[in-house]
Amino acid sequence: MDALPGSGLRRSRRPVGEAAASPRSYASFPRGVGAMPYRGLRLCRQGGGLEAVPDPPCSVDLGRLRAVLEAAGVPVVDAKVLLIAATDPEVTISRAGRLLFKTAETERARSLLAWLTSLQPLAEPASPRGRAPRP
Amino acid sequence: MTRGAMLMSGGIDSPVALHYLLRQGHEMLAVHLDNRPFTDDTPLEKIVDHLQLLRSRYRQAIPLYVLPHGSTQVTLMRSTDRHVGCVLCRRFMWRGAERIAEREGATFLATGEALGQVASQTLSNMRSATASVRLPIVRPLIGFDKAEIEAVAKEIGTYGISTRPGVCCQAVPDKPATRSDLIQILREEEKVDVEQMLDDCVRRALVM
Repeated sequence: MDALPGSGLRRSRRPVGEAAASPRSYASFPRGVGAMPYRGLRLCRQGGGLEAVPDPPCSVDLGRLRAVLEAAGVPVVDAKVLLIAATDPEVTISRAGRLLFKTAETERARSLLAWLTSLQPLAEPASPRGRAPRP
Repeated sequence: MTRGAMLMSGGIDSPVALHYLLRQGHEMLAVHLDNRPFTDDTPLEKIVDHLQLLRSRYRQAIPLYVLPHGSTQVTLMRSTDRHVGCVLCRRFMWRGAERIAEREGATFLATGEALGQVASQTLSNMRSATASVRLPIVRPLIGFDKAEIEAVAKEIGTYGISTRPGVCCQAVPDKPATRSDLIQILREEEKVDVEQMLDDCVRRALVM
């Protein structure tokens, strides 16, 4: 898996100090990986996973993404409105591009996010702006 | 002494409800609908720890039946209206618990539901969910507020287990219905083969 590029990337919306103060706030995270910017990583409501939300909102072609993941040897559960990819760590990908990594370890999630956003369906979302259309 | 089947989620409420039923002298078994891969391993790990604590406190075996529910969730998500997904999921949970209860000679079902706590626990959603089963349902915590439940959970030692970090259920829709119409629910359910899904789920159940 490629590491995130270290230059030419903007910082997350919230300052690092604020991120440290609240467990659910966004960790410092560079934006602009591929064409699909993510706001950052933050702990999910129950604190056991990390989520990344695309900013601005977009729509992902899950059928295409599933095919790409399976071609890369990743088993995928397709629940139509979301995919669950058996990567390490496991990740859930919604139609709106929202990702949930089943780990609370930022580095592991970051590294997987970098790989995922290098895949074409996430690097070039079907609808880069506005609400995700319903299938 | 009557025998009952308690639906366990790994949260704060269900072990407290189970504690009250055990304290009353009921013989209990526990049922968990395993939502993986829509969750991680933590709900099951928490339930195992909850039961270990309560088994030792009440000197009861409390067998745990784990029913795989992930494939049911996939079918529901693919075939039915996402807005009522939580109610449909609950209906399957109740039915799964009822199947186990009937097989094991339990005469009632129980949960840790308290009125109005979350989307699935509004009166209309509870009605829609429980209309799927025939056995009587006992809800020891129905009139409790969250603070009261948490206080008891701390007292009996289950609170620390319940509040361990975990992954939120990914099958929950963005905007779950807080009011549901049973007719609409039944219409949605007609889109899937309920009996076959239940048979499959119960056949693959594990006892721990």
